[in-house]
This record gives sequence, C-alpha cells and structure tokens, in this order.
Amino acid sequence: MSHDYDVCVIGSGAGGGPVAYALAAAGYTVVVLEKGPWFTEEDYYKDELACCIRNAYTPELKEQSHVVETELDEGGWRRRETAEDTSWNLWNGNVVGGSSNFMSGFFHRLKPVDFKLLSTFGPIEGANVVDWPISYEDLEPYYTRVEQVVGVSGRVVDHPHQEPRSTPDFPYPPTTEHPLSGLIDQACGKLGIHSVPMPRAILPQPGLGRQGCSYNGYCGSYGCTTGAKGSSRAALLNQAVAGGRCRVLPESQVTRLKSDASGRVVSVEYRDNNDAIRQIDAALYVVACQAVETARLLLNSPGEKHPHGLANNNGQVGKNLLFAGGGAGSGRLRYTDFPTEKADAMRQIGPFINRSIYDYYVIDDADFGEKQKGGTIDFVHLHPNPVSRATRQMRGPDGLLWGKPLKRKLEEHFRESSYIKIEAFCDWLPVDDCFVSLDSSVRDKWKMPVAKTRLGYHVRNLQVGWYLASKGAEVLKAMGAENVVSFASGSPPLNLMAGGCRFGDDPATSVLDADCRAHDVDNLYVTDGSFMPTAGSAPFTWTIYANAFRVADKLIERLGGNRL
Amino acid sequence: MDRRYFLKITSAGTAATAAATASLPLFSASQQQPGDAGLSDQQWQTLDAVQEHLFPSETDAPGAREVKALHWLQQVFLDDGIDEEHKQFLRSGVAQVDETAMELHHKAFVRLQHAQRETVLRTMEQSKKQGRAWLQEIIRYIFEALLTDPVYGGNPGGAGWRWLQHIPGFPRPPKEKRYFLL
Repeated sequence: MSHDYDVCVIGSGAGGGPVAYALAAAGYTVVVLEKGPWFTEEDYYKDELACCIRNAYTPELKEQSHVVETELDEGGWRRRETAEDTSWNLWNGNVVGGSSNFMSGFFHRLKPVDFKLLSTFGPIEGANVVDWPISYEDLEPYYTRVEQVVGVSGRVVDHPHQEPRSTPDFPYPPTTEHPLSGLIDQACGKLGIHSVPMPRAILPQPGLGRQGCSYNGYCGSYGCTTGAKGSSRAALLNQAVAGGRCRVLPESQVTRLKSDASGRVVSVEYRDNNDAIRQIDAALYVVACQAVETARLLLNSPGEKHPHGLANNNGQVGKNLLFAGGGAGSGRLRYTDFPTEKADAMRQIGPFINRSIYDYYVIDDADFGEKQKGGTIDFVHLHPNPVSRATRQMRGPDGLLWGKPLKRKLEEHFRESSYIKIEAFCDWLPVDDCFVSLDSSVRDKWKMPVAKTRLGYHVRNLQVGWYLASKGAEVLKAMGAENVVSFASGSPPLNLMAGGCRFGDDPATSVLDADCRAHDVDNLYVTDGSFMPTAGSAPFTWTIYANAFRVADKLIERLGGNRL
Repeated sequence: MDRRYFLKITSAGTAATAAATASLPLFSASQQQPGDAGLSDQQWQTLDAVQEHLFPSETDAPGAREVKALHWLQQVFLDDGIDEEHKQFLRSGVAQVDETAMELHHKAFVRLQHAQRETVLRTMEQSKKQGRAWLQEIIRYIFEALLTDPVYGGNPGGAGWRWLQHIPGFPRPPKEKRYFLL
C-alpha cells in the first residue's frame, strides 16, 4: 500500500529530530509536522523581550492555553487557566526544533541505577516507581551516538558514580571555562567531593557543519545564533532536510490522528499555515510533541477501537507525568573580597562554569535515612537576563523598594558581585496526582479541548531536593560565598517535563512497549520524553535524544533495514 | 531576471511591508495622542510623576525619564500583543493614584511634595485593591525601558546597561528582527 511518506513525525524537537534524521539517512521518506514557525540562526538574537518577556516563541495564550491544577494546603485542587494566569505557561518553544532551541544543553546521561529503581531501592509509598523495560546497556550506544551526531562536549574524569562508556572520552573538549570553575574545584577538593566538568550539547569549536560557540553569555532561553548548540533543528533536521528525503512542514498544527476499524492509524489531520484542514498518511506515525501535548493529542484522537483516546484502552495515557524534581540555591562572591586581577577575571561574561557533582547520586547517609536515590548538583552562572534580575531586586525587607534605595540596590547587585547558582536534580517521583487529561470547557482556536495538567508531587522530591541543594550550598560556603541560600519547592519546573506515556512490558500499567510502540496501536510510536516511567535525576534532553535514536533503529528494522 | 527569484523577492517585499504596516501603531507611539491609550493627558502626567518618584533622575544614574519609560508605557498600551485586561489593570492603577492622593492630601498627585507622594504610593502598596501588584508592574516596565535593547525605544544608547555595567549579548536584534516582526 502506498503512502504519502514512510514515516510521519509529529513534533520537531528532541524526540522528533533523531527519528527524522536517522530514517532519512537510511533512505526512507519522512515528513515532520511542526506547529510553530521555522526560525533559523538568522532569526535568533539576544533579545530578552523576544525570548523571555513577550514570549515570541510560544503560542498566544488567549488562543492556545492549558489548565493547571495545583494542590491546596487545605486539600483539594486549585484550577487555573494559563490564559488568565500566564505564570503557569506550559509551552516551551513551539518552533522548528522545539524547545531544544532554547535549552541550556546541560547534558547528563542517566546512570545504570535509574533503569532499575524499584529493584534497587524497593517501593516508595505513594509513588508508582518501576524498573524500565530496558537497561542502561541498551541505551549506552545511543548516548554515544548523540555525543557524536548532536555534538556533546566534555571531559571524562574518574569519580565514584561515573557510568560505563563505550568510548574513552567525549568527541569534543569542554567549552571554555570561567575562573569560577577553578574556585569550585578547590572548594570541592577541600570537602573531599568530586567536581566534574559538566557535559554540554554545545560545540566548543566548529564541527559537524556548524559553527562553534561564540561565548556571549546568553545561552539558555535563547536561540543559538551560531548553530553551536545541539538543537534538534541545527544538529539533525537541517541535515535531514539537506539530504532530500525529509520534509519539515512548519506552522502545521496536528489536531487528531485518525484510526481505522482495526485500530491502526491511517492519517493525521492538521491545520496548515492558512488554517486549511489537511491530511497526510504514512506507514508509521511518531508522536513527539512534548509530554503534555503528546498526551493531549492521543486523548483528542478517539477511534472505533480507541473510544477513550488513541492508545488509551487501559486508561494510562497522560498518567505518571514527570518533571525534573530538585532544589536550587545561590551564593554571591563579592569582587572586593578578591585581589583585583582575580576580580577582573571573575567579571568575564561568556565562558561557562560547567561543574557538576554526582557524589550524591545515591544517598548513603544514615542521618538522612535509608540508602536511596539522590541526584545531580550543577553549578551554573546566574541567568544574565537583566530585566529579570532587576525585577528580583525590588522586593525589600519592609515592602517594595523604589526610588534611590532601589537604584542603589541595582548598582550593588549588577556591579559588585558574581553569582553562582545551584541547580539540583532529583527524581520527580511518579504519582497518581500528576497527570494530563482533557478539559472540554476550554478549547483552543481550532475548538479542540486543551490539556488539563494536575501537578501533584511526592514529598520525597522535596526532601531529596533540599538535601542536594544544601550539599551544593556547602560548596559555595567553602568558596567564601556570601548570602548562600538553598531550597526546594514542590512546584515543577515547567520547562522540564516527561512521562505521561510510560513504556513497560505490561499493557495494563503502561502505554508503550519497550520499543516505544503503543501496546494497542501497531503503527504508532512515541519518542519524546513521554516514554520515561521514572525521571532520572538530570535534565531529560540527552536521554530523549538517545532513546529517539534507539527507536529510530527499531523503525528502520521494521521497514526493512537500511535502504542505501 | 529569473522569474522565480523575482517572485520570491517581491513576495518577501510585500510580506515585509505588510508586517511593517501592521506594527506601525505599536512603535510610532510618539506620534499618537496619549489619549489613544485610554488615559487623559492629566493621567499621563500622573504616570510620569509616579515613574519619576519610583525611579528618579540622578546626575550619575539614569532615571525613568532618561530611559523614556513613559514612552515605553505608551507603546505597551498600543501593543496588540498585550491583552486588554492587563491594559485596563494599568489604567485603573493610575486612577487609584489620583483617588488616593485626593483622599489623603486633597490634591492631584502631580501637585504633591515628594514626602506626600511617598505616602500615597505606600498607601496604595498596602491597599487591598491590587495597588502593590500595580506598582510592581510599573517598576517592571521601567526596567524594560532601562534594560532591553535600545532598538525597542528605551535604554537610549545603552545608557541603562552602561550605568549597571551590564554586558548585553550579541548579536543584538536589528530593527527588522524585533520580536513582533518575527
């Protein structure tokens, strides 16, 4: 039977890019449908209004919103529509390449223990902890492939939680380091913990047909203007399109997947850039719209065999939504506390701090309780966005600061110190109260129900987040930092989401099989972070890329192997 | 000339013109009457005085006036991308300033001394009518005028960045790549 394309990929971010890249490279035709516009390096500038204040890369919330529910202290749930309360905006970058355009590219592999949390540590009450249906060894070759194809820079150093690698070191050396990195190393040395260079999805020098990093200090939240950042667009889709077998259709909003009486997907229905309804059919369909929107699309796609939404015959779609759990903190290093030469070096903008601590990836600390899963601690620069930084200064001890006191505080904040931020990542435990469903009372501009996201969390997230953040704070104190604070919050980081279509061997408790194919839809795959049944303790992007390359190999095999 | 190329450049030209025209009201605010934003001349004077109080001019440090913060708010009111509800919130705050000034001092805000203005704004900060949220938003817009790229009409010549020794990222947005033209 002939199809418009061999493979239709919905979503062009970290989950879609590897599939398009690998399938096209193997000789198959691929179409990628992306709801947002196709911006290139020519469209990205260091413009805080565009990226972060007027949100030029995400949909108008009045036209396309979400509903979120957060837990009230007194019990029950508080419902918000993001069109009204924009601080809960769940869109993270709706452009070709998706939110990978705007990532910081803090790249961490999961570690072997992440694939078998249940069998290693046992169950946790109130959490749906499971082992993965694959092991670290299954994914390792694909982590390596991402290093080579997307471009990951770093340096392997020996430490107790170093995961096994099939290659001795990264294909690209670390990005240029800021003088603060050395101060962190010294402090960690004093404390007897291991300071490790953080891998980044950033090319330190030209390679892979892309330019190297320009070290201008504005990376996360911004589109990369050189192509050094390994976004799905710069690293994968540009190459796939250049090869001639991959077509990317921007401004194409998929509204539903249609299935036949046998339950198989037969076409996707989408709105093109003129709002006309169009259809495409393919042999295989891959959904990768980021966790919330992936679940929403499936739930919005009922069919004869799927009365409750596609792939949802066991009611699992949208369940066990995950975020990056964790804590945060910061400390201030006053320039006057350092010799002039050193202080001048610390003022530099551009080079990265890039330091991580994995010593607490498993916490074996009697004071904290039983041996349990911990996580990663990253040290990074305070985000440089000046409006956002200034806005945080207006809060005074007795109310708002304004007038000359506000101006003096801005001078002190901007001119006199360097700041280091702690970002601690722990597992966001999968719980019954964190899930995606549909809200039929709120519809987008195409009249489709929007996603409703309940954001419950397990108290363990907070405990481990606090623990890790306070360990990070000890390092900052040992460096001589002032105003060191560390904390954790139950609020999820909305830009780091996964889960909702967990993979597993049992169709009763999972949506996808070990190959990320829907248990009850033969030609449907999900390759964004939705597949993750537990969250790991690091940002998701590297794992999403690696898994999508793994699934791409399954698709190639299924379609008959490499055609070229 | 190659016909395809010709079509491409003319259609691109048309698109660019259309985009520029569409955005004209937004960034030609200086040619608009302030009244277009739904505020009277007197209310604009109130806003100007509030901004000056919140972020005063100093010899060595730019204030709201030096970074064109009032003009910035005019742009905000004319920006189609900012919803009407938010604009109404901004307008109601201006009215609240003058109401509070009349209640406390029986004069319009602009006619008050510095210390009296302070009591008006502090009273608003404590009020239950979202006065604090309004003040925060007015200050935040001053920061936008102070610290966003000069291409948008604030931060003239990078004066805000220079004052705070802030180094902007590069490349900076050219006029034709401002966010509302993307």
